[in-house]
Amino acid sequence: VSDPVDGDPLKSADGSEMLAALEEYADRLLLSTGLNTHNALGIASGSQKPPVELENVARALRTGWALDPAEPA
Amino acid sequence: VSVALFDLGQRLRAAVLCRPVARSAFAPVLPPENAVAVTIRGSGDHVLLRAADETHRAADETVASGPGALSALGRLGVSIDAEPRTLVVPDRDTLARLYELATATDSTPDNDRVAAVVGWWALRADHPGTGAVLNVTAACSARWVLGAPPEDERDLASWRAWLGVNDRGPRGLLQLAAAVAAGTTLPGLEAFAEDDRDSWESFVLRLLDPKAAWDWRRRDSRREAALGLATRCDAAELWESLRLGDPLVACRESFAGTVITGAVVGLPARGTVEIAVDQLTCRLRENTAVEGFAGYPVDLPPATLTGSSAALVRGRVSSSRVTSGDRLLVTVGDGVIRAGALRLGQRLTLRPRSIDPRQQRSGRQELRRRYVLRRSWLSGGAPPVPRRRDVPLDVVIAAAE
Repeated sequence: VSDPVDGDPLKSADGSEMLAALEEYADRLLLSTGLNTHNALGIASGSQKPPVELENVARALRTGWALDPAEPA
Repeated sequence: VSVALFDLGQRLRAAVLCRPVARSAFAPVLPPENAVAVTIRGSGDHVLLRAADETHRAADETVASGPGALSALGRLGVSIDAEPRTLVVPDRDTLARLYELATATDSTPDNDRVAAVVGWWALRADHPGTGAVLNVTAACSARWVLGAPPEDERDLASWRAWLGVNDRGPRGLLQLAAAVAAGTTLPGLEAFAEDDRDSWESFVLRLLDPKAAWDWRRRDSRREAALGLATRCDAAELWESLRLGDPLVACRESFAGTVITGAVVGLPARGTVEIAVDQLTCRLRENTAVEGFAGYPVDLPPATLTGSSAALVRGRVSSSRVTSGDRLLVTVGDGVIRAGALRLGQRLTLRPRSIDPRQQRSGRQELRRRYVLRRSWLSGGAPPVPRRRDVPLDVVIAAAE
């Protein structure tokens, strides 16, 4: 399991671009939080600290991120 | 929104890993029984049906078109005279079109044997958890999350791409079905296999009984419709209950509020426990029957009878309120608390009480018995009373149609 490459959270471990459609969806979903996809990815993966008032948002993102039991599909 | 954010965490993870991530720890479908996969294109006289199964490897797939398109299934041995098989379809729409084809097919002995099986598949497909029909996109969505927007998960092409299945026909469906059913099956799903078997036997018996002169294409009588609604709703309730026995599903549901977790903050009376919940989201309304287990949502045991016996507390939600400190306080009353099992500060997770399929079955038998009584409700006992319960969306749509 690899984490995002340092410096550009939108680059996955193998260097491919994150799907643009997902980024657009995530930006829309996060609109009311003031975050964007880059922030969300950083918070979910633990490389970025969330603002205190968004602790619940961060908890949901982190739990979802961390839940995968590394089962190969 | 919390669930959507939880899902977003999973979607981002999947995008970074370039592979689907697990939404459930267990396989959410029964292993297919002698599966036959079907795709349909076009409609009416221009319909093209392609079918394949695992036992006819020599013939890559069978193809038929037009009014006789069902013959493709007949050539694979699909018949009311054979054992029940699992139908694998890409989506619900394919089944609807197959059903349409079956009802419109000219009645010949050969056609009738195949068409009746399609009728049974359509009947069972209304029962979530059934092993008779495997809807590939729905099953994959129950098992994995993609690094893509949610709408992509309703598209078979997305699943083929993410799971590396190149075949775009029925053979590809069989591969996807095998992948989604691989591993340990969700505990408790075997109850649906039993229901499928019972349903098949009674369907065949009724169809072949010359005295009954029953045509599966005919609309249900009011009694049949009422009993059918009961079996469909029972299936939906059992399915939802069993799903909460999957640790990953339970964790997700804790963000939706169907499962809540927190610390025991009060044991004010015998059979009563107060819990300070971690989050404000809670869908457990007053009077909901619940059971509580030690630990976090991921620690919930499988929702089988064995699992339920591990409950520390079983009762009903008697109240819920938000304190001045913005904490949600839920009180479970009228409960049975295992002796010495609870203490202040203990971590407890509550879920809706597990459904017992045996109780459901006996309830349906009683309902059937009372519906077939030819005498008055006044002399034969109280009539079944209307009661409020969740009904699967597909069932609502089918009823409206």
